[in-house]
Amino acid sequence: MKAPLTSDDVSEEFLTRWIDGQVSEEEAERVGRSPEVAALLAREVDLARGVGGLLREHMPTALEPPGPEFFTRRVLEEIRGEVSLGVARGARRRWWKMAWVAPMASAAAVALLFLAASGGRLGGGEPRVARAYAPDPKVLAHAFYSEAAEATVIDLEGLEPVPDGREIRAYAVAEAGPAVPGRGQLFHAANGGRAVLALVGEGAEGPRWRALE
Amino acid sequence: MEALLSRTGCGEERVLGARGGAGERGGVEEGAVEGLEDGDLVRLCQEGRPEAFEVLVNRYRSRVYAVIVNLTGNEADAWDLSQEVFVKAWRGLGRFEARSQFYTWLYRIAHHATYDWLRKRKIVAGVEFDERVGQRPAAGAVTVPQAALGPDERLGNKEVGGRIAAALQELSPEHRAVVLLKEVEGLSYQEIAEAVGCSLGTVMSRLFYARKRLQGVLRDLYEAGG
Repeated sequence: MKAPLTSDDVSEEFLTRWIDGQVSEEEAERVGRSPEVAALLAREVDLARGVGGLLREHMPTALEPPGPEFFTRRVLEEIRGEVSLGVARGARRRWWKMAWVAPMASAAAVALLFLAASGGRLGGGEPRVARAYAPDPKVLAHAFYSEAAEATVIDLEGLEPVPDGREIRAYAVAEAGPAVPGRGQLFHAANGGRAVLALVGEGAEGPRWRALE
Repeated sequence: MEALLSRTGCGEERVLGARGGAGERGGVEEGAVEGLEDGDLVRLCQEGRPEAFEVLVNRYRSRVYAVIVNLTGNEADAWDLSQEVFVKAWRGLGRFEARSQFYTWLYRIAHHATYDWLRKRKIVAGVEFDERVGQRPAAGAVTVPQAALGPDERLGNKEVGGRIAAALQELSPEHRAVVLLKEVEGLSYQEIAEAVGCSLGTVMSRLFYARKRLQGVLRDLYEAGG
C-alpha cells in the first residue's frame, strides 16, 4: 500500500484530474487517507466548479449565425465550384489531369498571366489579354471584350466532350454569385465541347450573362 | 458562345447545381439524406455529393459558430470564420477516416482556423484586450432554443456575461480553447488533445492555469451565486 498523499504530491496534473474525476481508485484511496490533502482538494473542486458553472451557464454551446439559411447557401456555393473540378474524393482523377480540362486550364493560365502584366485592370472596351493561347492545337482560343457583360471573355473551342459517365457539377452561371473583380471565373459545358472563361472587370458588379442572350 | 451563355444564364439546362441530378445515386435517394447519421453523410460527401454536406452544415453550424464566438469574442468575424471552417472541412473530407467523431474533427478545423486568425490579429493574453468584446450580439443573430441563449440574455444579466467573456479574452487562445472545450463543450482530455493538437499533459496543464486565472478574475461572481 502506498503512503498517503501529501500536499507536495498534488501536482497541476493531479489536481486537474481530481477536479475532473479522472483519478484512479488507488489515487483516490491515497487521498482518502490524508485529511489535509482531501480538504485542499475539496476547496479546489469548489473553486473549479464555480468557474465551470459560470462558463456553462453563460457561454453558448449553440448559436445560430445571423442569416442561417444564407450561411448554408454561401458554403454550398463555395464548394460547388470545387465539386465541378473533382476535388471530392469520389472523383477518380485529378481535375488538371482530365483531358478536357487541361487545355482550358492552360489557356486560362496564359490569359491570367497577361492579365497580371496589365496591372489587373480590366474593362475599358478591349480585352486585357494580348493573346489567347491553348497548347493543344485542336483547341482554338480567342478573346474578346463584351461590353454587355463588362468582361473579357476567352472562348475555347474544340475541347473534348465530357465523358458520358462523368457527373459534372459546377456553378450554374446564374448562381455564380457576385463576381470578384479581376478574378477569372471558369465555366464549362457538360457536353458541348466548349468552355468559356470570363474575366470580370473591376467596375463590374458581376457578369451580366443575360445581356449576352 | 451566345447560345451557351444564354442557356446557362437562364439556368434552364444546368448541368450543374446543388442536387446534381434527380433520382438515386449511391444507394441513397435524393432528399433522404437528412435523417442519416454523420458517418453516412460523410461517406456521401466523399462521393462528391454536396447535398449530404448541406445536412452536415445545417446540423453543426450553430455549434461551430458558438465555438468560434466563444473563442474570438467577436460575432462578426465568427461568421466568416465559420464559413471558412466548413469549406475547409469539405476540402479535407477526402482524408477523414472516421477514426474520430465528425464533430471532433470539425472542431479541430474550427480551432485551427480560429487560432490562425487570432495569431494574425496578434490577439494574445492582455494585448488588444477590449472589454466590450462579447457583449454585443451581431445584428440578426438567432439563438437556438435549448442552449443557445447568449451570455447576456441567459440570466438577463449583461454584466455577468460580459465579465465572463472579457475574462476569457484575457486568457491566451490556447488556454481559452482548452477551458471552453472542457467546461462548455464537455470534451474529454483525449478529445481536447486531438482538437487542439497537443499532448494530454499539455491539456491538463493549460486547464489548470486557465481555471486558476478565471477563478481569480471571477471569484466574486460565483461566490455571490453560492
